Amino acid sequence: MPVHHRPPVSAALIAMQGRELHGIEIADGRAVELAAELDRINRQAEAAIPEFWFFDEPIQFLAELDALARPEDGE
Amino acid sequence: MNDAAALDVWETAAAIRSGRLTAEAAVAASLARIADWQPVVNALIRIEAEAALARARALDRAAAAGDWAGPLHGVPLAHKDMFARPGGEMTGGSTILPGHEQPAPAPAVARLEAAGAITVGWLNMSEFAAGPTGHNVHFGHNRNPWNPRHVTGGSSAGSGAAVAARMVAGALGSDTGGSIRLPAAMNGLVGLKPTYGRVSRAGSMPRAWSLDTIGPLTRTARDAALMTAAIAGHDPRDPSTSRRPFPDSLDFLERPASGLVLGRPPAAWMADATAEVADAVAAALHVFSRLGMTAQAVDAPPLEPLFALGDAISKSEAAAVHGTWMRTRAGDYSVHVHSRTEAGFHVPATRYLEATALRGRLLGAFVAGTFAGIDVLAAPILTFPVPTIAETDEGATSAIPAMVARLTRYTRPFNYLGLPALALPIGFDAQGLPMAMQLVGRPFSEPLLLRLAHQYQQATGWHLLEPTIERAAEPA
Repeated sequence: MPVHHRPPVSAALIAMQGRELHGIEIADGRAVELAAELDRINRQAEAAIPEFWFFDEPIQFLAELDALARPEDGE
Repeated sequence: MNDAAALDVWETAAAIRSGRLTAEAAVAASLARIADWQPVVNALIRIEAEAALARARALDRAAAAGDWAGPLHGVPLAHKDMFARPGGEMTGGSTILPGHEQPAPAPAVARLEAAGAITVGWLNMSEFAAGPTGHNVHFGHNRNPWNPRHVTGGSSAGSGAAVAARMVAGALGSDTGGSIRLPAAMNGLVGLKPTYGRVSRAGSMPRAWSLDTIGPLTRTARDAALMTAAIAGHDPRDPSTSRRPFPDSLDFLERPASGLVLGRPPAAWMADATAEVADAVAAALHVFSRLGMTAQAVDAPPLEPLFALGDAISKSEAAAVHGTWMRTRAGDYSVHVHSRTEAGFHVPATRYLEATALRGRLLGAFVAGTFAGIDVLAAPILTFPVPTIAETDEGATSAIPAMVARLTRYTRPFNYLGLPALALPIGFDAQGLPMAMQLVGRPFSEPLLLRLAHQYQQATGWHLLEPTIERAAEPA
């Protein structure tokens, strides 16, 4: 599966987003740390992200758990 | 009865049922043990001695009249301080939560009490259930009864310490990224993170509702089965809960393990294990082999994407829960919890939605691939010794994500997948600190995990070892 990396988010955007979207002041140094953490999450997650999914998939997690259970494991 | 506090949950219930012990004596023994150990491990935030003794006397009167509440009649328990009850004083390990109105009682605790259990107190925890070590700047750090200089693991930190120190025989915890399994592993206990949807989270403090699970920490798998039987089941207040039944009888624990196939921990997951941990895991696999199980190599995918997707959900939902307080009461959070929650404001909504949308697909792929040909998967929890409180007391925000990731690397992916996982004690290291591994099963396979853990414990006996207050109180 091809992996399409999002570009890293800048510390400046993190600081601005914190202030303007969430009302939380973030010091410059802390914004650098948060940008690095977000970049780590994005890089690791992207290996599992497919290009497309159909309508029925996003709401199937609970049904999938139930469907994958084996009766003999629960007795 | 020499020391009723030394009995496990099943033994206490049996002693009361046979008339060898009263509920009042069981509670009194628990309270005495709490008085001895609390100064050492700091496991409780509130002790409800008078209410517990009053309920015990009422249960004793009922029993004398032939009226038994259920299989936990008279058994003293304590729980992580994150379950609501009207008029309660739940803290969630925080100074922010007290004083907020509480909803109807949390069914997890209410069901235990309906089965006859007595709640003697509410247990210390990581602030807002966010922290894998058990540090708490508001109520004091949790300390490990096997060596109080070491962490208990978190966030169900007091649940781990209280049960290991025999203050109570069982406790509820919650697990969003490892918060039952880590303290179970670090205190030498069985800890069951159930399948997502097995136990109602209604009335419990959320960390991340798409990942949160509630389960027991006990010394034995049999006790964990008893408690799970009481709390499992559908609850209209938590629409994620399954109607799939949990067995009423514990007879399933004795069904032989022979013929079952155990997946070996993938080599990549054990690559950073210390020699002591690797040897302990190998020895545990040998025990399962002696029980008649076959070991098989498995093809497991890299855990990093599953970890990151779970992390994206956890951070996003925690930021949503805490948004108002993060703006208005930021100074009331510890640096650790504030910094971890703060990151959630910057995960894009699209990433969060990808993470939630793909869970079914990735779960299906994981079960089809990794569980092909096996019944249960063995996996590490910690691949290194239980750290000290000082080692993990990260003051710099830059160091916290790596510390948390190191501790939760092998636990968080299974929260994302929703699979049940049981922490199993497998011995002690040269420092006398517990070692553990986890048994991971297909969805709703808790009875199978508990059965294998029970038979392992019958064959080994690690659960019979007990921390001593004399050793715990020794100066460093």
